[in-house]
Amino acid sequence: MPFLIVDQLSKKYPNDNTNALKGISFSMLKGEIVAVVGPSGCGKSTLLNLIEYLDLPTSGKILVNGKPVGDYGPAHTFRSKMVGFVFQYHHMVSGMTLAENVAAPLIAQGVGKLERRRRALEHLENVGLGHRAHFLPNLVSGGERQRAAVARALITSPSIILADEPTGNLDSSAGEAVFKLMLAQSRLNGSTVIIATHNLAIAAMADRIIQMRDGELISPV
Amino acid sequence: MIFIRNILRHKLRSIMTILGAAVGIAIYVAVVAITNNLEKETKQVIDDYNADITVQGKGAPSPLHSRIKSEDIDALKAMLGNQVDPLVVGALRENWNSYVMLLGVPLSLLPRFGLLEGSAPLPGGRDVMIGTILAQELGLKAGGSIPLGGGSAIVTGIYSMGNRLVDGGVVADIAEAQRLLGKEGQINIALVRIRNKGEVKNLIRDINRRFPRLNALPTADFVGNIRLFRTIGTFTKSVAIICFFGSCLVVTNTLLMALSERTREVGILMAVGWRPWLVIRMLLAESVTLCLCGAVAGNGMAILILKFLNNSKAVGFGWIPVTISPATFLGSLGVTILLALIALIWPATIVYKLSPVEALRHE
Repeated sequence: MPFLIVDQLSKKYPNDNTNALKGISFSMLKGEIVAVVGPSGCGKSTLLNLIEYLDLPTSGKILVNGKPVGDYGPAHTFRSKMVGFVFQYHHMVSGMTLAENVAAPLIAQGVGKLERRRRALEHLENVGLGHRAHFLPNLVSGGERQRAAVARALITSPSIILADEPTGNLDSSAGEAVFKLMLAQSRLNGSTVIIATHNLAIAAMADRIIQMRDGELISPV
Repeated sequence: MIFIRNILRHKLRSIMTILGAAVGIAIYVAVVAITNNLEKETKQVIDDYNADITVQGKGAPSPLHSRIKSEDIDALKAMLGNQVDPLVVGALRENWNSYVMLLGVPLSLLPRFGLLEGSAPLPGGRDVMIGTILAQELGLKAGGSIPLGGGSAIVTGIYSMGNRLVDGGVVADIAEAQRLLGKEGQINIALVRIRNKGEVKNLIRDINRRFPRLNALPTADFVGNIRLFRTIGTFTKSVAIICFFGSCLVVTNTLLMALSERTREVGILMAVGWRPWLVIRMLLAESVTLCLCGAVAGNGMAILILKFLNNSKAVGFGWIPVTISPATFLGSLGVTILLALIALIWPATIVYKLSPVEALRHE
């Protein structure tokens, strides 16, 4: 049975004549890793935003484990319990240390301070950043920030991990290292992963590739 | 502490915000301290006489403005016996200070002033006693002379009543006070002591009925009914409200700027599952911290303002308190918390309306 079902998903932004997504449908099994490839502006980020419940579709629906995402409660509850997100530009909160950034999703879940700290350090160790835990993001390299972002996405052991160009801001070797790390950690968790990327070499490491163009899915590569 | 780090991100802006809040709080605290002190010390002066009834001219906004004619005092004495003590009170404008409080009391009351040195003035003379604060300010001792009313008076004694208002002033025999203030044949208020306390209510009614130009009140209610204090109280509240909203604008502006700079970060936090309240709680911590720093700085500034006013020749000695009461300080902290909450309303509304996707796209 599919774990994630995207059914006839469309998105049209106000003040924009074109449809960002045009009736996209696909499904994924639990633990499957899918790469979504396509040129800039083809709708990859919009698709990920809708799956994360950051935005609402114009039409269509998303089912997770057989339930529409709206049935999991308010959007923030769904995001904090079900999804981990890795952004293109690592997106760290500059006033928080790496450990605090990694622990941020646990604050949303109401986890106590000591437990948050313990788990954040554990996840930072897993991505090789235990020694940088108390550094502010501006004091570490781009690759380290992106590894911390991976730790943040995984800290709640989410069922779904969404990564929007997670290596786009890194050089190829650092990007590949971050990607491999993310895949390894996700496989350990058994998470379902969707990665939006331009990079075909990186996409090739996924279980399946979906290609998009102009808001539509075209045949798998 | 994330909120401390956020505040320290823009040190200069945070300092300016704290100073902005501090100025508002300083003015509020100083004005409240002066008003409360004036009322408290006036009440203490009246209470020190142990009077049961206080009589002043009808419609007078304060004892300073009250006028009672000698014939009314004589008639009051005839009605009540020797239980009536007239008092003259006024302010003298001198070169060395433009607001010297002068109290004229009957000779019988002079011994009530706690003499520290020297003696009370003799009846019919032009001598005076001065309070310790005034003596200290002018460097005077008993036997010295003080310029008063265009001439000079011998200081026969120095007293202390433990009341800054009285200890910063001059006390003279009632006739001499009337002469210095140009109030010959007039007094300001009369204090009445009654042996049988049960008669107070009836006597007040009788006095008010027989003397339509006078207004008799139970002494306990007298200070609360001084119209001038009520006017000052209204003025104080108006100043406090203006300062409050001025400070509110400063803090709101800072929070809006901080929010604008950190919109994308707010989007990140929402994307990892933070509900708007968690973001607002972070802003609240910043707002409260900034305002509490402003309150502490403001109270410090208020003490400096009070000390400055105290040393100013334009203000009479002893009128201004030099400390802030715990109640005023705690009140200012309460006002500060309210300030932090109100300053947060606008930024909080923005956070509640913020779309995470839009926030993440924010440059």
